Amino acid sequence: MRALHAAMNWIRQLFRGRAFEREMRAEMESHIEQQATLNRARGMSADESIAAARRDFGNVGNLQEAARDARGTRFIEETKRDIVYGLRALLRTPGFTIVAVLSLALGIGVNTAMLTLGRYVFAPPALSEPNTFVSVRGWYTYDAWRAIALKSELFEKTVVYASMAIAVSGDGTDATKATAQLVSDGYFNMYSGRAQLGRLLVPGEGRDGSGPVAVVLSDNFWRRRFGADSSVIGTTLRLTNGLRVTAVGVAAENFKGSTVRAADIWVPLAARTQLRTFERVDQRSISPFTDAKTQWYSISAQLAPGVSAAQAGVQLRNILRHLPTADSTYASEAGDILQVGGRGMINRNNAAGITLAISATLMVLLIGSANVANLVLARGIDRRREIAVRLSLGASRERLVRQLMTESVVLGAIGGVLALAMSQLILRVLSASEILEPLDAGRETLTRALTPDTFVCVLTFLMAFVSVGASGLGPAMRSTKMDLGRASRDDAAALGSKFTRSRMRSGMVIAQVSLSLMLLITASVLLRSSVYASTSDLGFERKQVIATSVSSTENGYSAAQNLEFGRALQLRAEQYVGAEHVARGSIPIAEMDFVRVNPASVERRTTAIVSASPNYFKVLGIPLLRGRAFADQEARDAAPVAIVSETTAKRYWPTGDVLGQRLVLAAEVWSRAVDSTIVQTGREVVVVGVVRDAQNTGMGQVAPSVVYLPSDTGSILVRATGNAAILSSKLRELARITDRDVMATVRTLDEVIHEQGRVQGAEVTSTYTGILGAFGLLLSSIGIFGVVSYAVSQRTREIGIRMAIGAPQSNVLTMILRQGMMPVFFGIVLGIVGAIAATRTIRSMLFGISAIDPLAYLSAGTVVAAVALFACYLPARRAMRVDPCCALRSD
Amino acid sequence: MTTPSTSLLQGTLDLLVLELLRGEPTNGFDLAKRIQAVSNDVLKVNAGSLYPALYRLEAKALVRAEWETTKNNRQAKVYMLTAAGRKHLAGERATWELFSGAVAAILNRPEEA
Repeated sequence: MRALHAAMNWIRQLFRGRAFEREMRAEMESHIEQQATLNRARGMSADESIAAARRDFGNVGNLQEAARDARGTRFIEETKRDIVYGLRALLRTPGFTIVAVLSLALGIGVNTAMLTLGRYVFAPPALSEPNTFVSVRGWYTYDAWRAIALKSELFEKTVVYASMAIAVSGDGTDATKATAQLVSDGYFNMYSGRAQLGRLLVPGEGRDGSGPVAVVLSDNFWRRRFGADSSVIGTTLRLTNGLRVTAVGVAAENFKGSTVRAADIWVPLAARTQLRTFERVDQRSISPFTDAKTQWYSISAQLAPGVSAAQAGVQLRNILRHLPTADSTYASEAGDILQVGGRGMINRNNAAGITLAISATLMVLLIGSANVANLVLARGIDRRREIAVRLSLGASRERLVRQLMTESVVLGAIGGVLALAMSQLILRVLSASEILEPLDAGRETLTRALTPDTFVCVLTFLMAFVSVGASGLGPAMRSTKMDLGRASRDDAAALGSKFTRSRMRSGMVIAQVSLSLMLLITASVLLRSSVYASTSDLGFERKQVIATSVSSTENGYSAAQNLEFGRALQLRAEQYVGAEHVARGSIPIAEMDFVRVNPASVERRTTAIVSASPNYFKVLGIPLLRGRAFADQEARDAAPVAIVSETTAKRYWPTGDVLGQRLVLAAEVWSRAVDSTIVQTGREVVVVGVVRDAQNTGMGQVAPSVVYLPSDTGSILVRATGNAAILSSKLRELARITDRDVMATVRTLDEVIHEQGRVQGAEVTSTYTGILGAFGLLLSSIGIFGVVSYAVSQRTREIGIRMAIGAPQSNVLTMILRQGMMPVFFGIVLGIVGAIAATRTIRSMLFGISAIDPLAYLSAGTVVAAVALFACYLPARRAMRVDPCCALRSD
Repeated sequence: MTTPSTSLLQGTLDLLVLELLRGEPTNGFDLAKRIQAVSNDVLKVNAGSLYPALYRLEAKALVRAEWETTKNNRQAKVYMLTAAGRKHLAGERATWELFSGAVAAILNRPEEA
């Protein structure tokens, strides 16, 4: 009770600091007056009585200090004063403050944004029982899962799931592409799913096989496709293969299930055979991983009570050993087969990009911190006189360090607040752009998810305090340790050796320049690579050719239906643009199969197989060099003839005539795009023509070996004579007319190239590192500007003397520039070395150019050097205009 | 006057202040004078220790203060005991009596043979 009262009192005291001071002075004054009155009564003169009373009272200052101590609020009050003092000091030097705060806001803001984004993307799934949850690495067939699930002593329960691309139609609107996830019983339970509308799937759903199958929609798909219309519950839709389903519910907004981004629609596992036309047709597959005929599932499980993950892992391997090897992908791989908890969503493919993004982000923080450190250092030097005076007046060193640190904290707090604002700005810009499109979470969800939470806020301020504190503490300690006498005489050397100091600052410039350059080089290498991808001549026409393809797996078409649809659409296209502009065959880069040619020959390299109608070469603009094109009849009959590329001709018949030669197609056909009947093993074909090389097997694969086989099926390729975009929309319309429920993919070959993961990855990463590099360069140039300005102000007197004795302005300019550019030069050298190391890691994202692309290095280096030179020039120009008379008088 | 040989024991000043305030509300100046007078000039308290003691007691909510007009028509800060102060004083007094009794017993023990 009393303690509470005292505490309340203490808090009240805190808020009446000024009133307390006033009262204290009044009270002491009153005491002295009373004593003086007494003294006068004893016969002293007026003056004497007051003097005696004061003498008697003692040192008022000491007493007041002791009195303040007695109140127990001194620490807080001093801190309050320090904060106010700090704010005033910051306001006194607005240039310093703005630059420091902006450096912090930029450096930390970028990091906060990435942190928020990363936490969203890599958030572990919500699990109902996270302690016993394990996910099984690798992919498994349905049979393998059954075998594992039956071992009930290992797992309390197991679930399987598989994602597939499907088409949704049947409700009167056009067919939409969607991601379906086939899920077994208990899936929603394991990932603690909830429905926001209707219900989730119940065990045994869809097993009776009669009537439409119950499915659950994701929040995003429900909004995207059905405009958040709640009447969708109970409607019957049609999925791929004509599977009739009923939407029974919409999952909660934040439900993502087992995947990084939620599927659009969850389908009970029982419907799997209806959704896919094939499941394990080919037992002899040589490479299960690339065989599209098997449906692969992922498995998650809940460990049985008392079973450890290690035990279960050993047992699981035993089970897998007894299964056919084609039933799983992980049996032969090393490492833990079970992964505890829900993490590990980063797959190896994007690891390089993610590592790059994270390191690039941290680099900006480093560059920004170096700026702050540089500024604080410079300011410490400017303030040494103030500090010296305070030390001489008796301020304790501890007290001064505390005050300087308080200032740092004030600076850090302002920086932290602005960094949060900056991160929000960055995230807004990002979510408005297409960079985050792969997340595909829907704008609203994304905005909500990307609002920083407590964790992110705390970490942001921590970053701010650490970067300011780390850069502020050193100078604070040092500047309070100085030689008082020399400092008050304003001797620069009082603050440690001038040499060490300038070397430290130059060191920071070197670091900044090299980090920025690394970012910019990486960005421009990636940029060059994507520019190359979109402009280089691949040996075929890319802008004016439109490919229309229909995926039978997505639409559930049988081979016959597919053929029929293709014919009908081809006819419509031919009527529209003229038959000479329409061809059938493989889409370059996207649709390609590989075989081994002439197994008896020593050549071990594979050859690409491309199916082509007679018009194919004309439409794609691949010139025929020798021989003839296919005849219509040959295409219809899939006749045993072939046209080869120049490289193929040189590889197999280096000397002789090619035309009329035979070649034998070997096994190992992973047929996906090409009609399998025309590439049977051991099939013999006669070469009737040679065409020029084209990079149609993959980006950056110059002059691949290609064999073209006649065909009148495959994707429809149309050459646009006018605007390709208009023709594209016309082709989409024609596809709709042909079959409303079919989803045809219509795109130019340019778009096909662009959709290649590597091209996209490189573009996103290039944009990202480019923006960060620009930030970094901006921050670095501020740093360089600051360092050179400071050097100029230090050397004003020297410059004045030089000019007074006749040095021309150009000499002074050169001198300052040389001094300023020295660390920049070292930074550039270091940056190039660093970039060579850094770009090695992104080689897999590049094509067409080398990781050490001279042009990219040169241009980034030039930009950095130019910006640095400009940052040096501004203060150097000021030095040049120094008036000797003023300079000599300056201190 | 003899030199103030009797420096106050640590914590005793608080006890004296509280005891004197128990009688009537007093200002700082009068308090100093009264300590001197009541102790027959043996205990002399200077302002440098009195005021911090008063503020400390105030911070602990054992005394509270009000500005009042003194008899010679002057504004002075007058301190008075709070309920908590009264209770605290009782406790401190008991402790002090125990302590001084013990010290006296040792000092006044009969000479041992």
